[in-house]
Amino acid sequence: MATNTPAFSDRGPIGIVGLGRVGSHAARQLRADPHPLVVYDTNRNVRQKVLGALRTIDRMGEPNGGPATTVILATPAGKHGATARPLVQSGVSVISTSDDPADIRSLLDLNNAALESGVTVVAGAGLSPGYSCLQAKHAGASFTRVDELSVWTTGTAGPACARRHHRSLKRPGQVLIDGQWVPKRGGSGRDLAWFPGELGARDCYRGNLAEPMLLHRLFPDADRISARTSATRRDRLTGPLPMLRRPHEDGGPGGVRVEVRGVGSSGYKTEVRGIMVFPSVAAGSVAAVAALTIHNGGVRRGAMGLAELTENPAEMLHELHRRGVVAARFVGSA
Amino acid sequence: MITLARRVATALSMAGFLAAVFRLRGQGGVPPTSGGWEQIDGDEYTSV
Repeated sequence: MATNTPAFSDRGPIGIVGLGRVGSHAARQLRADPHPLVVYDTNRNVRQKVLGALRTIDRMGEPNGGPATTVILATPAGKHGATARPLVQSGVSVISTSDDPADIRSLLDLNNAALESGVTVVAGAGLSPGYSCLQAKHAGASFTRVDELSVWTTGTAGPACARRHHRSLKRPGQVLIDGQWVPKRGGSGRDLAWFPGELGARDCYRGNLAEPMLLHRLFPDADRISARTSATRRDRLTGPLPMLRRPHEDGGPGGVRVEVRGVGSSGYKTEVRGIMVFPSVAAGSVAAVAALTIHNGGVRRGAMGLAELTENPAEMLHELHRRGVVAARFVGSA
Repeated sequence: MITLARRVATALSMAGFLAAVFRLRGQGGVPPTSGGWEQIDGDEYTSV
């Protein structure tokens, strides 16, 4: 973790490819650590702007994040698997912030290549999936048997994230029901979810979401795993159409709610955790902490979800808490 | 005049039907009746 890193880095730079909302926040998180950064974005103005906010030891990298040996991929979702493959084959660890199930599947398919190269590939290192999986794993540790996991999300980071959210509502997603993967139509299954703070209640719907796939790796014996994301009526009405207007530069406050249900030492119980946060800030922090964890060594090799990176997710959660990503627990009854 | 009234009635009916479809589909939810959100203390992560 950042607090245990040496005063001067001897492990080389950390790379960030894609300097949108998430990538630039990851860069700002990492500038407080001793490792130099190499950053790249196809947009020259963005590159200059982000570099201007970094240190003198940080510089522009190559389009693939070179010469870094640990690279955060924060480009828009869709091609993370194809981008990561040559990096992994050349001995570079990759942290992907994509939340697209197709990206995550193709990143997890790099497991053998990552093991052969002795590197780590983290799929889904953002707020959701990513932080949500860490919280689910941490909450699940207090259960003797986890039966059911549900995740709800609201809000988006930058424009690329908003476009992905728009697409996710019109595409089917997989949910686990009674131990079987079942395809569910995007935009179906309305459920009113309660988030912490001012977020309050939001209508959430199924979609093309990656959480079930990653949570199933953490809890292979769970019977039911589902994920939903919030949408307004306008989102649902315009779902089949292209986005009618340009998304906001930052989606503003958003959040995640994670429910774990199962059997604990005193019988059946439910643990509910949530967070209200700017998704761009949280996702950048999660990617930065994942990169530091890998860069400082001592993690598993291969391709995996964020919560599989270390045996104890509490270490990363503690570091994220220290950086201002502070979760809450629902105490009470519905 | 009657045609206009019919069109207005048809438009309102369709709007009402669509609103009902979007509003009523799904299970809705029950607001929490007691309790609330409590911030998780950072020490909790170090004790596990």
